[in-house]
Amino acid sequence: MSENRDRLVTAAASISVDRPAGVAGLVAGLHRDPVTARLPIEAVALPPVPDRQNGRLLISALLAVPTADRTRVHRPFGTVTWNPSDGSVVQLSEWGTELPETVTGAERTDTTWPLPESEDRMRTVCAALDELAAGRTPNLTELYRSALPSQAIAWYQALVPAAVPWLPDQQTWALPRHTDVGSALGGWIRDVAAIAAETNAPALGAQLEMLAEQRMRPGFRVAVVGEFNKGKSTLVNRLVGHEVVATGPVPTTALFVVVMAEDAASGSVRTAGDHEIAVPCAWLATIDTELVDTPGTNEAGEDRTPEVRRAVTLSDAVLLTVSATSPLSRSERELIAQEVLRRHVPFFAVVVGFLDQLPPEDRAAALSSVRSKVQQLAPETPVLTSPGPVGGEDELVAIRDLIADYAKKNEDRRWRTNKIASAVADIAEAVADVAGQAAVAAALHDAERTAAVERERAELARDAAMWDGLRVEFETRRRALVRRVSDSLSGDADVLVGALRHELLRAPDPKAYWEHDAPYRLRRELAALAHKYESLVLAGMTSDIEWLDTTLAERFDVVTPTTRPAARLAAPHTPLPEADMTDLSRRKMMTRIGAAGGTVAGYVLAGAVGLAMPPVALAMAGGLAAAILAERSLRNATEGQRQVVDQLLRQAVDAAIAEVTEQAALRIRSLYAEILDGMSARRAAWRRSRLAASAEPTRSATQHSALADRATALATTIRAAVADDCGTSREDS
Amino acid sequence: MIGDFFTDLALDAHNHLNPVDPDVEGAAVVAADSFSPEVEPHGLIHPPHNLCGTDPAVGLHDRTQVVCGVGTPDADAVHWHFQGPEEACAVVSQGSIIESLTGVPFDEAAATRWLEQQGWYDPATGTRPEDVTRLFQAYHVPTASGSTTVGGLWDALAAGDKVMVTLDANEIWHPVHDPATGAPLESLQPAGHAVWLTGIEQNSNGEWKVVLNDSGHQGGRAETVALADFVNAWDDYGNQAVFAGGHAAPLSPAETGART
Repeated sequence: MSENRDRLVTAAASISVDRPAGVAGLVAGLHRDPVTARLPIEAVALPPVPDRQNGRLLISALLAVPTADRTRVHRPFGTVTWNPSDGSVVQLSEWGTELPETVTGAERTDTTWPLPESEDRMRTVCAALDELAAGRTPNLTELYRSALPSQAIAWYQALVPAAVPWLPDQQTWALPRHTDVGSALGGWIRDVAAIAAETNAPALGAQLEMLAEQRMRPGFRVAVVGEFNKGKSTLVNRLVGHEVVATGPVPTTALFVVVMAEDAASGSVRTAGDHEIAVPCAWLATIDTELVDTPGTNEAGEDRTPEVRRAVTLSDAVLLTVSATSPLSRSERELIAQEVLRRHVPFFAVVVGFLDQLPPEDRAAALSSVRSKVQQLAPETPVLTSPGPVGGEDELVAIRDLIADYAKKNEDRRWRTNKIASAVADIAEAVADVAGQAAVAAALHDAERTAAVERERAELARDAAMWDGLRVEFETRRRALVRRVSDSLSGDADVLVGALRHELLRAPDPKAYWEHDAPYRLRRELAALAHKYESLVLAGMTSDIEWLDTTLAERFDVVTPTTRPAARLAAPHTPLPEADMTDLSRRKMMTRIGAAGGTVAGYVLAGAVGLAMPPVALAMAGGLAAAILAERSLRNATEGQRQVVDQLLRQAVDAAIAEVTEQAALRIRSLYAEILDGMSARRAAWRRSRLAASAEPTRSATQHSALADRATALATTIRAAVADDCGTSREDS
Repeated sequence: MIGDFFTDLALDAHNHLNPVDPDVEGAAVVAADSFSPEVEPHGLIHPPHNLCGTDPAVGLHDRTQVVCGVGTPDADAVHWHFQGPEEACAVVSQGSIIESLTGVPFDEAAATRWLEQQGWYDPATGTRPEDVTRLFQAYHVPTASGSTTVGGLWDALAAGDKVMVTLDANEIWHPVHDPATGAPLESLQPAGHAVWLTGIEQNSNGEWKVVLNDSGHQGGRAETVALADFVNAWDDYGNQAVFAGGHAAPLSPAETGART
């Protein structure tokens, strides 16, 4: 018994506990110190602040008890003050449930606060305080932005006046609030750009400019679609309060007219052919939205449906304008069926116009009729009344409110903001690395510096070769995905031919069916197939992006800020999808990739269907086929005639599938290029900047080190804010 | 009767627990008729065991590899309670120990309500070290509290006492080690926690483990923790322990602050 006890005691004595030094050690030893050991066992110290008494630098921390789930803390019950030079507790103040009188304002009423959950943040603050104690000047203010809840800032300002110079200004400080990533983003970009300029890293500065341009784009896009002369442009003009797009029965030449608030127009980059109009519209600016006026689907006697579908797949919401004076047309019904039932856009509503052209006593019935027809197709679709060219203020407000509500619910905008913020943090880390490299280079002798430059050149060349190889392999994977999509679509060709033949052989007028019905039926069936294979595309892209992440991690021996996992670039804050995920989770995942709007799968496949031209494929009927189709009915067709019809259908279906496949292939290529180019460009900018910093450090080593610290602190701040925002998003959902 | 103890306390503490002032020697003379005379913890304690050199016991946790140890972890595991979402680890640890000593089912809700009424438990302000034994005191369980050593823990278990310790739960639930040295690393944001230490064992690989009845999570019944992680977590709280049962020698002031 005694021997065993002795062995245990010996084993315990041999255990080495790695206690942190400095301020971190004071925080970690809160319950070990005899003075503070009497505190509640659950008590924690919040990230401490500098304090001064009698000319001595001291460290003070608020004391609080976490809630049971440890996501928040109860309002602090006291403070502890240490002397960092000897580690002693200088003062322990407790006020229990009676609040200190010096604490005033809203912070006094908050009974619980968010608990800064990141141990890393606490360590960073403690390390910065150690630096301060050592006579250096760390950027504590930036660290406190992410490490302290806003209430703690106010309490520290009230209770530890000596800490105020290091604390963020409460008047202008809004970062820790979850929803403020968007409003802080501009300032972060400017701050990182300033440090990049001081570090002489223009290549990284250029990357920041691109992000600034992306940020300026409105976060929500509403397409207004409908047939020619159904009140689209009138509605757009009324919504923005300006005559910005031509109205009336004159077909417009532009494919799209994008209307945005003036502030958002600067720095915009657009596809050639699109028109943009910036208007002074507070409503648009407030809801961070742009409107897209589209050509009529049947404008100028042409079928503009493919272009309109493209607009739809690139938008977050769609308003379909219809007329109360005419029944829902086939194309309107098709649009509702495909876009709403297939859910290619998150938000869809119908706006009924021209009610004023009906006798007043008939208007309610007409509106009811449209609503009934729409809701037969899609029961949840809102049906509103158009305000018309004048008056109709209530109707105008209702539509504006609906759009504002859609924009508010839009998760993509939030994800896009966080994505840009994460990219800014990546670049801030790259700037910190470059500044660190410059600091090292500044301290080197010429010969050593020359060697360092050669090393950087070699790394740059190695990177270039690596990217070339990666591009080839990624292209191979892209081709394989396209082949899988093509094979899948082709595998359904027989079913498609069978369905069309069934209808054709029973059509009372085969020629009329061929010319008028078959194109819509084919497009609809293709849309259904596109929907069917969305998960195939998503699973393929997910797999390829994961491969890219893994390969990058394997081939870059140094993990750098510019090789963040590509998955982060291509997906929002939800996990990448499984092939068999539910519609809901797929809906959440499918969001923008880069500058392209709309949903991933919708963009790749459904959008490709919109661009495919079944009528062209179907126009091939000629010769014998035309003669057969001219028969009044094919019910009694001979076997020979049936074979000709089959052949005709097969040709049409194959051509349409080939068209869809080609369009999908182009889109996948474009998406893959965007992902790879973005990553390689950023890494190349970092490499070039390192090379320049090694060759010609522009400042002293100390100055470069200070720049590196500032950039690191900014990156920490941004990442923390994004992480908080993502956490809130998950809570919201 | 004892079975109604906690409920009665909650209903009318003053009637049943009249002169309790554990800080005053002799004041814990709780009305004997309200505290049933069946409260005789000494006689109900499971006999201590020392497995060294005997067949390993097969209990609620897999101890087939145990070659040496002290305490009654299997018997004590029966009395483990999960504290749920409440910050009531000290209450639940004491109540579980009392249950093991008396055989009376522990009613956490009634106990916490009563302690709140006395001002000894408040989720918003936490549990003070001096309050972690209030339930023992109310229940006449002899205790010794203070800083001790791993050797002291062994001695108390061997003597037949029940042992409660305060530690940083983060460092036993999510221990982090220095990748180079393997040394356990200290957390800067401790999760203060009271647990019932039911045994200390050594397995056939020579590894020492402590066995805890940890009310903080669902897997806390007879949970085993590596000695190094336990030492790290316990060290954060000044190696504080409560020995319940009156068998162990009083804690020596000389041991305060020592680790072994």
